[in-house]
Amino acid sequence: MKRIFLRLVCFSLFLSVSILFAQDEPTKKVNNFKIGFEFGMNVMEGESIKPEQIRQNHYSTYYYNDYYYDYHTDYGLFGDLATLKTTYLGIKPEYFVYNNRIGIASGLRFTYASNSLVSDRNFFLWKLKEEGMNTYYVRINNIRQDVSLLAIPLEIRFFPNKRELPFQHYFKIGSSFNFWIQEDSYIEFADSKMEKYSEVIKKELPDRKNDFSVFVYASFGFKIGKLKENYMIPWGNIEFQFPYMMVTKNSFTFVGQSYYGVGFQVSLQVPIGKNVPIGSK
Amino acid sequence: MKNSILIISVLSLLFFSCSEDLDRTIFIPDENDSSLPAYSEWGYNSFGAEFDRLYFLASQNIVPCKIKYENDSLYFSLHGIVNDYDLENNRMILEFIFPFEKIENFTELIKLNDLNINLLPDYCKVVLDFDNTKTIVDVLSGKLHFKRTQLLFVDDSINRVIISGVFDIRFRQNGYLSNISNGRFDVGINHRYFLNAQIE
Repeated sequence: MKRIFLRLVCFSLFLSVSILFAQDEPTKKVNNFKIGFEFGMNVMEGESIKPEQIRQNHYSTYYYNDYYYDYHTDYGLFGDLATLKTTYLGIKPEYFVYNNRIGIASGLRFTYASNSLVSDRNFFLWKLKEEGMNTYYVRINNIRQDVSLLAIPLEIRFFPNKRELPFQHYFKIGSSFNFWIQEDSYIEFADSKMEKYSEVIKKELPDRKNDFSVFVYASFGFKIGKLKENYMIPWGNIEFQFPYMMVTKNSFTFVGQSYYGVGFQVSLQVPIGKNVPIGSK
Repeated sequence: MKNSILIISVLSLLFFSCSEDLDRTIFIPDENDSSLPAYSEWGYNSFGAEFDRLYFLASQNIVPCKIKYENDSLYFSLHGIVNDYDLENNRMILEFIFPFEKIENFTELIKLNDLNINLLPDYCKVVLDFDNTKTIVDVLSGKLHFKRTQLLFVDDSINRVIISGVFDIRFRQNGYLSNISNGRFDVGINHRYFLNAQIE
């Protein structure tokens, strides 16, 4: 795992260093690098990992013919879906090829991810302990786990238009290789006096099985701004990401496999050296 | 005075909102027969049994279990429905009556822990209230096993007693043989569903 991480970091550094060397290359006619600063947010729905200490509290009933014939058909599960929310900031150089219509980008991202257990009611019940014939539950509104990740994105985007326009659409496929840095859990009790049990419950939370995760996504977006040769005018990009998925499993405490997700990303790209518009050779 | 009323109102709201959640019937299907609830000990307020070729099940609209202590006997009744769509009234009550030591309030129901009752002797009775007809059935063989009772504390306060167990009865009703088999229950009883008829 560490070797993969080191290789990816080296690759990322290589791209960044290449930008600097490219700036100082007097013989090169054009410079296809742009350095970008990005911000994005994503929401993914996935399989909920429910600790065994939680009392099931969900039900549903359907009616056959009339109200006499009610049967509980749902499986009484404590919510089938869990939500993973991520927010990130990053720096991302991009290299353009194929007449500057295809961009390849990588860099470094700091990602903040949050996953939580939330009841479909006001609270859920957590079995704290059993002592002889006594059983103790506490009411919990939610348990949230915040995770900090260091991520390496890898993106390829394509501009269908052959000429550069001030408002130009593009398609992108991307991935993000995420490495766990740290995590912390927060428990909100229905009765604040029960906070004395907070540390006990934190110790009982299920173990995360994976320190590494991979997100993949497809995007559709717009580049805003038109380049002029020899001018350092930045580009703006805004894109909508769908689907956004996690391909690794059990990388987060409460989310197993992700099913689907959406997101958006905004970025600002500054050309390094001479500007080369899209479509220019 | 105003503060007292406010505090009492808030505490009542907390208690009833908590009770409401624990009062609901949660159906977790059995792995072998998904029409029946799985045996559990969480106080899901659920029960189920095979009733010949039908099922006798807890319903969200009916309080599933009530317990009464009267005449030195405990009346343990399960209230639910039979899944026969042709019936106009499919509600059914199955009541087990057996002698038991004095119980004054619901917390003493933990004495039922690991209690095995043979339903055949005359001092035990099984009453079936079905299709508007209440009958003391002629038990041919039967057992009621209270596997586990737990005194439940929620947020460090006594809330209810969880009673979990199994039952099976082979009986004759109006001359015909019937079976209530593979029965299981997991119910929570507090002061609302327990009555000591000798005191109250």
